[in-house]
Amino acid sequence: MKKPSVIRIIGATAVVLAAAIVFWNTAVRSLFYYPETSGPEAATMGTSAAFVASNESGMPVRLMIPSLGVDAAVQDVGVNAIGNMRAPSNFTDVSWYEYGAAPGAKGSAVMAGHVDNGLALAGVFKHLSDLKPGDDLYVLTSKGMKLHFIVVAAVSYPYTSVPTDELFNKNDGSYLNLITCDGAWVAGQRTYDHRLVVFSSLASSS
Amino acid sequence: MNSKLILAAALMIIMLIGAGIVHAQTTTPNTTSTTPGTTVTPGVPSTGAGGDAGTNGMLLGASALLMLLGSAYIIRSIAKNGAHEKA
Repeated sequence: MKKPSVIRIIGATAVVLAAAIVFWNTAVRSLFYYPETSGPEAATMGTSAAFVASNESGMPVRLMIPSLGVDAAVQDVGVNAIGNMRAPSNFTDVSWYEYGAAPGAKGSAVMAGHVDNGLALAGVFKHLSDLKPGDDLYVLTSKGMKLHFIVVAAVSYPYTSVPTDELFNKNDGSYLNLITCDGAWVAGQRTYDHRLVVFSSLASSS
Repeated sequence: MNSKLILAAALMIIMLIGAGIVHAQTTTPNTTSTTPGTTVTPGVPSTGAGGDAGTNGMLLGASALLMLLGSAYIIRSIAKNGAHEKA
């Protein structure tokens, strides 16, 4: 019987190890997302609403949408390396833009959630398009307050022409805007070609 | 024969890693500009990756297949070595 070469066994082991690395890397990226690289943060984005919020209703800690069965933890985020609001680092939480308005304070607080992950499993905002005007949203804060928002409208925009000044409004009202991906996949840019924005207005706080 | 198999598998691994790197490095452009030192409105987040499901599935399948075949080859070789030593 011919004895297999030790070099061949070592080679096969190297192949198996490399395949394991590719498998692990792909599985983690597909299922959980890698956190995005941070951008310039406070240096260019202004004062964090976290500071302001800590003196008022507190920081948002959970978002609840009873009609969709959503009860998600909130991650505080800034911008990524290319100046976009950062998405949550997994597909079950939502992210809140901490350099904009805080929920319950003046302006529009913005929360983002994934529509799906890299294996096409449903994300926290998979069914955001089912929300209708009049539906309820609730935000729990770090100070134990429960803020009640009512959906006003849901609009899908091409992702290059979302009215960001309106989305991240800091000037009036007390709103909560939810955003997620929508439309068709653009393979070259690895994103969807639309963004769905659900606009809601503060109804009460307790 | 086995050397050719290992070479082919190694080549496949290199291609898989290459595909993974290209895949991970592609980013979505922002829709607003940022000027250091000023407060700016951010661009919109990218909140989905379902379109990559096919590519990711292929990468997972191919790497899993290589792991299985490679492991089988190693186990068989070690068993052969044992038999050879007994003989």
